[in-house]
Amino acid sequence: MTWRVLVHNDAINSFATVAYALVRVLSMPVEHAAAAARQAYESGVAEIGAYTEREPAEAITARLQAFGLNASIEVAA
Amino acid sequence: MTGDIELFVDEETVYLKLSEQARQTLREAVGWLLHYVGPWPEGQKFLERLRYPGQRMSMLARMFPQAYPYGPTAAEFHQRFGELLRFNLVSAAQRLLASLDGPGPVRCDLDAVDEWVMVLGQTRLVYGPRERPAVEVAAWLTRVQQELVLAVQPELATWSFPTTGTTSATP
Repeated sequence: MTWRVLVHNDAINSFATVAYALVRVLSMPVEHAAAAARQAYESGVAEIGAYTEREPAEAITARLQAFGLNASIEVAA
Repeated sequence: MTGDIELFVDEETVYLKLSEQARQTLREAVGWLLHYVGPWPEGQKFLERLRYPGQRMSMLARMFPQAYPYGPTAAEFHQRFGELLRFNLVSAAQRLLASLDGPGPVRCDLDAVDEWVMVLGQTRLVYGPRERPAVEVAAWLTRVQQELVLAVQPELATWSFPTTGTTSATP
């Protein structure tokens, strides 16, 4: 199984704040974080990671939620 | 409305020079956040927030969104992280308030900046789309949060960010 961590577009967080959270939580390069934030904005959702175990996916999701991001997990068989 | 704020960056420290009005706005706004998510009566658990009235329930649902659409995994996530997220938010909010009481600029290392970004973002949710003063406070919180983010990650300012949609101040 795969646990996909998703960040959804919302009407609350600024583009920069979403990218900042991705940089801080995932140590993502700024350009990757900005691209993911843009994808969330343009398509409504961006996958920011896929994990073969549930625990790391949930821990990252919780940290993103702490930044106020609308983060969720999609489980794929 | 809401007060002046200036940011100075020195290596890995951000200094926030706040007017008294800005300090008062933050005290009041973060105070409201703590009113809603602060320490609860002993024995009350996170899931018991569902007993709250609709408006508060909606706000808390946005602050602590479902990680899974439904089912036992959603409940398990809340059991595992719900109380921790709330506790960490309350702790960060209390530290932010305490930092406002000292003389001179507020000094933030990177972790403290993270806490400010988190607290400002969640505090914004307290202000729904109601009367104009509340909207102005929410917009001001958004501006302060944005300036903090760009102070730490100035590279983000070089990207072409959308100016609508994700920049609304109200939930």
